[in-house]
Parts: sequence; C-alpha cells; structure tokens
Amino acid sequence: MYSTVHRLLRINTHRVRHLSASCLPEKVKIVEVGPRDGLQNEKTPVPTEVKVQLINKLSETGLPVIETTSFVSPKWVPQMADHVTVMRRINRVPGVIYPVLTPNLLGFQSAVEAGATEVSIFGAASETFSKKNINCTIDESVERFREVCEAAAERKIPVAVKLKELGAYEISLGDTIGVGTPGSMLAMLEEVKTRLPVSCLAVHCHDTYGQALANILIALQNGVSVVDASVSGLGGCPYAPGAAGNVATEDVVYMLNGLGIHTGVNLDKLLDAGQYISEFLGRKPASKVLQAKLGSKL
Amino acid sequence: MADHVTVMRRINRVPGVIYPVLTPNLLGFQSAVEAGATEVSIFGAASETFSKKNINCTIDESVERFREVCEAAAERKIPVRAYVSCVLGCPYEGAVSPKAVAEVAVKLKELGAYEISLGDTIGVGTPGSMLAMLEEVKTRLPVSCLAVHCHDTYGQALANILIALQNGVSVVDASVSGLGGCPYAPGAAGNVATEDVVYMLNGLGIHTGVNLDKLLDAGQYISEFLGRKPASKVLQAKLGSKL
Repeated sequence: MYSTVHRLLRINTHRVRHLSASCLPEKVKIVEVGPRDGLQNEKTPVPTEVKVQLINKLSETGLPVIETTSFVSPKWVPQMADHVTVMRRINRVPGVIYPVLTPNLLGFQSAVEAGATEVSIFGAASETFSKKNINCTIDESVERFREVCEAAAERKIPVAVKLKELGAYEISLGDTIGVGTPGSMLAMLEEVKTRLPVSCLAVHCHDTYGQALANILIALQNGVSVVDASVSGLGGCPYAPGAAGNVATEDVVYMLNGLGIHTGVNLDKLLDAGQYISEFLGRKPASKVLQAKLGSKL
Repeated sequence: MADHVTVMRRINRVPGVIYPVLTPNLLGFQSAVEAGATEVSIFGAASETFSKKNINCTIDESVERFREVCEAAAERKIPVRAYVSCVLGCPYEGAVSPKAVAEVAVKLKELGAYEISLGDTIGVGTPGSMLAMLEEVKTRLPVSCLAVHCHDTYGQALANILIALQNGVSVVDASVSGLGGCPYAPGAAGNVATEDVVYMLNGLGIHTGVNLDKLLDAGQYISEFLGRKPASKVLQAKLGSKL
C-alpha cells in the first residue's frame, strides 16, 4: 500500500512553501472520536462500563464534541453492540455535544429513542471503498442517508455528513488510510473550498504514515477550524495491522496550545482520560505527549 | 561510540556521500582525521544550564573549546558543521529565547561552521515556537546555512519541519527508524524518523534523492536487530500492510 505514495499527485511546492503561518484560526473545535471511531477499531473488546467511564472522563476535559457510539447492527460492528446502554448511562455535561453514528433510518430511530440529539452519517470519496465497506455505491449510500436526514430534519437534529446537500451542517473530510501529505491535503481542500464554505469543513486525519499533525497544520493554515481526533490515538488501521490509525487528541491539543489557538480543552484532564483507557487496553498509548508524560524523569 | 575508529575505517564510503563525525575537542578531531574523517561536527547549547549539565562548561567556554577544532579543521580544509541544542526549550530552564539561539548560532558560524543545525532537543517545540525562533535566527544568519533537527517527543516533529520548510529551511536532520530515544523521558520518542520525513517530502514533490524503499530496508534491519517496533510510522505501515 505504501507504494501508492509514488503515484500520488505531484503538488505545486511553490504554493506550499510560501504559505504564511500567521493565517491561523483563533479557535479550533476538536471533535473527539475515540469512544466510537477509536474503540470500534480496537481488537480488545471494551466493556460498557469502561466505555462509559472513558466518555465521562472526556466530558470533564472541555472537549466540545464527543462522538459517543454507533447505532449500527451488532452483527456488523459487535464492538458497538452496547450503544443503547452507553447512550443512556453516560453523564452528559451541559454544553457538550454527543453525536452518534446512524447508518440508516432504523439506527436513527433507535438513537433518538436512546436520547441522541445529534447524528453522523458517512460516505466515501472512492466507489470501491464504498462497495467494500458498506456494500453499496456512493449514490446508493447517499439515498440511504436521505431518509436519515429527512427524519433528522423533522426533529431538528443536526446531521454531519459528507454531502452537504442532504442537510449536513459540517463535513468531516477523512484521510482514512493516512496516506495524505500536506501537499495532497492542500490540493483536496482547495478543490472542496470552491464548492463549500471552509467554515463547514473539518479534517479527520489518520497517522498511519506519521503525517497527521503536518496535514492538520496545513489545513489550519487554509481556514479549517474543526479537527477530529481520538484520545490516545485509539483505533488502529484495519488495512495495516500494527500500523497507526487516528491521530491522538493529546498531540493535536499540544500543537494547538503551542500555536496559541483556543480549544477549551484541559490537556491534563485529557491525558488522564488517555491514561485510563491505555491502561485498560494494556498497551502503550499512541499519543506521544502521553508517552512523554508517563516517561518523564523531570 | 567507543568503536569510532573501527567503524570509520570499515564502512564502505560511497562517492558523493558525506560521512561527518562528532569531534568535541582537538584530541577527538585529530583521532578522527587519522581514521579518515573528511568532515566534522561540533555543538553548543542555547541554554547555559544545559551546557553546564551536559558538557560541564558555559556556552562561551564550549565555543572556545571548539575554536581549536575549527582552526585545525580550517588548516586541513575540513568542513565543520555545528549543532545548537535546546533551541525550542530546555529540560532545566524551560523556555529558551530565540535571541539566545541566534547568539550561539552566530558564534558557531563565526568559528567557521558552514551549517548550523538547530535542535529541538527535548521535542517540546510546536510550529509557533519554531517559527518565532527561525524568524529571529534569520535576522542574523542566511537561511541557506540553517538546518532543523527536530525531536518527536511530543509528536510535533513533522509539523515543525513543515513550517521550517515553509520559511526557507532546506536541510533537515532525521534518524532512520527514529533511532535514539529521549534521555529526559524514558520510553518517550526522540529523533524524528527519516522514513516519515522522506514520505512527507515525496508527497510535497520536494526532491531528496532518497530511495524510500531502500531506506525502509535499512530501518527494518536495525529495528529487527534491536528487537523493537520501529519508531517510523511509514515502516510500521509497511510491515503491517495486508494489501
């Protein structure tokens, strides 16, 4: 897979080299995807109580959005089978949003019954990925989500989706296999920005090739102010076992703090949440900041 | 590094590749030249406390110590590269002022170094502090003589390198498979992995002359010997890939 690097678009490096670092947003909204995207991709099954604890700890950090669970059939995603219980048992902190994934109308209805007040749906930019991942074409998936969006609109429930025309308020652009570099991120964003306002765009970078923070930086330099991340980098890469997956929220917050960008997140509390789940999973956290904290002699 | 003479003598030196060695004093320099070295490196810290704790003398004293090395090197027309440590933070002093970095960089350049490698020794820097430091150093030295040596202790290395590139830097230090941990935080990351740097530069269309596949082979070789997971994400992805 890494050999596809050499076939990637050659980017106009002149443009990339002359970007000013001073055009950064003042505030960034971090969307925490660890409890859903992260735990969904962890081999070790995580008990409901641990999920609830993790979400409760994350709720204390100042993170404005915590993607809680997925209302998908347990047959397909057994890791998220306890979605109703998790939804009902977490302590929901006022002001924090707890979106859930809803792949179809049935899942949406179940989510609403369980108390969901925001939902997410998804589409792929690649037809082959769409067919292999959810067994339908991109257009078919859009139609499937149309029902969800209509039902959501009736209940005034915000929907985050890849296709804004269905009624999504935010589009999270995911580098699913982490192959992107700042050059391809820039080219992609420039194209998307010709069709959608940058204020509705988020980036969801995977760190499979170590490029996530650099990709996020260039996105910030180009107007993006919403970043998805996963506490302690929860969630590996299903396409390359042992490889990294989601970018670690702690490392993103560390960078944003250093850039003087306001996130509202308390890094120490976030590190506590990361330490909690890493200890439970019995493995070294994928967050470099957390590794440094745990290892520090000073 | 006790086997420095033997290593120097036994490696196959490929024409066109430079093989610098660290020479902390005149004795080391002479021994290096005898063993066949044709380029040497010296180093100084941007933090007085780090200098005292690391090499037991002040910054100015270390500069004087290197003056001898540089004069001897100049006589033999041997190029000298200089490293500055703690440019974005010190494990003892905390924040380090960009002016302090510029001061020591200038002193090392005046000794005759052709390149100054600015090192974020404990990896605490972020693109903001990297930019501020570079902007100050660039008021005193041409950017063409600057290199960045980023540590990935807090995962910031590639972002810091990117902003350095955006600001004119075109020399980047890196370590195959991220060899070298952090002596100040055991278990924490150290050097940035060369494979990950090359991956980013390839994606940016920037020419490096490096064959990434061969680099990955070298990284796999040393990681297997050390019996540990490589610190390079690109190598981890290669080793783990099902596709």
